[in-house]
Amino acid sequence: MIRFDNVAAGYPGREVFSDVSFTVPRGKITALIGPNGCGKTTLLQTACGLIRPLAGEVLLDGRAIGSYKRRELARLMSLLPQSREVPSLTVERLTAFGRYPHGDMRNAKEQVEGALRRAGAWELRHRELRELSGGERQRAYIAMALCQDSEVLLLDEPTTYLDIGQKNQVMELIRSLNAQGRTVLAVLHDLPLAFMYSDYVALMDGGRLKAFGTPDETREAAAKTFGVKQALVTLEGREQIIFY
Amino acid sequence: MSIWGSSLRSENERKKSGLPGGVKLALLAVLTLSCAVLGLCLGSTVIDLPAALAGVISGDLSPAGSRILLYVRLPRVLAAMLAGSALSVSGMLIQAVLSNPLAAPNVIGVNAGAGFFTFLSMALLPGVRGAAQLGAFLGALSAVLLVLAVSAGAGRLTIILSGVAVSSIFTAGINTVKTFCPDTLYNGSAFLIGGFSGVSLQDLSPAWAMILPALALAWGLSRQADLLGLGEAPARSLGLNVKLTRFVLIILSCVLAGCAVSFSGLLSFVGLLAPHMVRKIFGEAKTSHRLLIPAAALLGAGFVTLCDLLSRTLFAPYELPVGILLSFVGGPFFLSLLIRERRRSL
Repeated sequence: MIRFDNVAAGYPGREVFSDVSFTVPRGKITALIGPNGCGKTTLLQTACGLIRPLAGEVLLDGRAIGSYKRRELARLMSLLPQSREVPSLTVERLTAFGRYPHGDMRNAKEQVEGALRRAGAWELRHRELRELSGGERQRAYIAMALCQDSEVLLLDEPTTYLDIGQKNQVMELIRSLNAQGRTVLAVLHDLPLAFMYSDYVALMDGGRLKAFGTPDETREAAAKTFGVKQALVTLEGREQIIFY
Repeated sequence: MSIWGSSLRSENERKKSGLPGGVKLALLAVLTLSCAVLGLCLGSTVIDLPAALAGVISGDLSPAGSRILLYVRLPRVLAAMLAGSALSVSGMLIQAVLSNPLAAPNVIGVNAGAGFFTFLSMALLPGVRGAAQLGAFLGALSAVLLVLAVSAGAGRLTIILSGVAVSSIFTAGINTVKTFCPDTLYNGSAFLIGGFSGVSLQDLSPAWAMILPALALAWGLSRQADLLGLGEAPARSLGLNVKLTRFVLIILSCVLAGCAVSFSGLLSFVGLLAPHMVRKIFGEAKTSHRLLIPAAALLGAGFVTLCDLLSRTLFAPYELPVGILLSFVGGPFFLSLLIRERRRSL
């Protein structure tokens, strides 16, 4: 699906990461984890063509990301950005922006309603983003990403600002979207959540990909990177990886 | 109520939102038209508009009313409407590009840049048709580029402060040209204040030919202007060419402000006041630039026409240049925005 082939990327005069090679498998949830500043967001932005690689190549279905037209790529991939600036918009208008790549913003009532309902944001549709809590705002952005109707979802810290209940609800929503066939690559800060919900984990540290594999294959490397301990425990009959 | 805070408030807010945008736009058009009619009728002499208009249409200019209408009132009202709509939409575009509600053509030095180059082109190329408009556009563009270069990546207030500095440099330039070439522009002081006395239909002809297409283009790019509000990364991830969109909108904004300055002088605060009033009336969060841009054009046109009417009737037989009245209204409004911005950033 998305293949990173010896990719290096960064900003003018500053390389953020290099020699990154792995494939985000189709139809799976891949969590991108690592300490602050290790290049997770830069990698996500490279994946959707916002940043051009300094070396190597990012391929989507075997084709270089750079060869896609902007709107064509936006129909295939949605990005849920880290929201810092809060635009002056109602939730409904924000969601409708998801139709921009399809060129039917004015005639997409059904798609907008569907996306709002799937994201659990229907009741919020007339409210302004600035009035919403962090969790509600994330729901609104997820609705926009859903309205974009792309196969790949790139999520940059989708559980930031959320309390534990809201985090679980967002992750359940992401899981249900994945169950509908969407491929998900998500930057996650919450390690237990990342290991609980993802099929694969990509661990970055110091601008390098340190490990890639299933949660079970990568848990030890993750614990070492973050300087914590990990254990596999059984909770309510289910095996869970915990970090402490 | 769900964990996501769904609330009864949303329905109430929807009801509170009032008239649909299209109806508000139509009402605004009626108000603007009323201002224009009043502007044509009232002044030092009240004219009978239908009779004067009949004279103009039939080519019989013997009645004084027809002559006043054709040579004084009509150019003046058209100039006020054209300048008002151009400066208002220019302000709205600059605010969208910079994501900065404090930005406006006069605040970030666009007017002063346009004014300086207008003076310069008239000093160097006297009598060349279109030179003033081209000079004004180039001046406006250089002011914006200078402000953007100085304040790249900086906060909202830095952009404004850069604009103040750029504005004062260009104003110094205007004064230099005025000192060395005092005959450059008839009534140069009035140009610095801004106003429409003495404007003729000939003065407007090169400007309207650029302003009207620029307004139409700006409206055509309203979806893109909406997306800029999301921020750079989200807008780009939706497929928008952010750099190109910003560039085109800045060019349009400079064309609009430059052309307006070329015949109206350095009118202040229209590009700040009108877009803010429009956002307040229509509700910024729920209204697209597709509606905001025509609304800003209408409100700007009506507002400047009304201010011009007041400036020439309030103290009759004396006439106050409309730029003074606009500064009296716009200055305190700008200060209130600055205070609000300061509170927001605390």
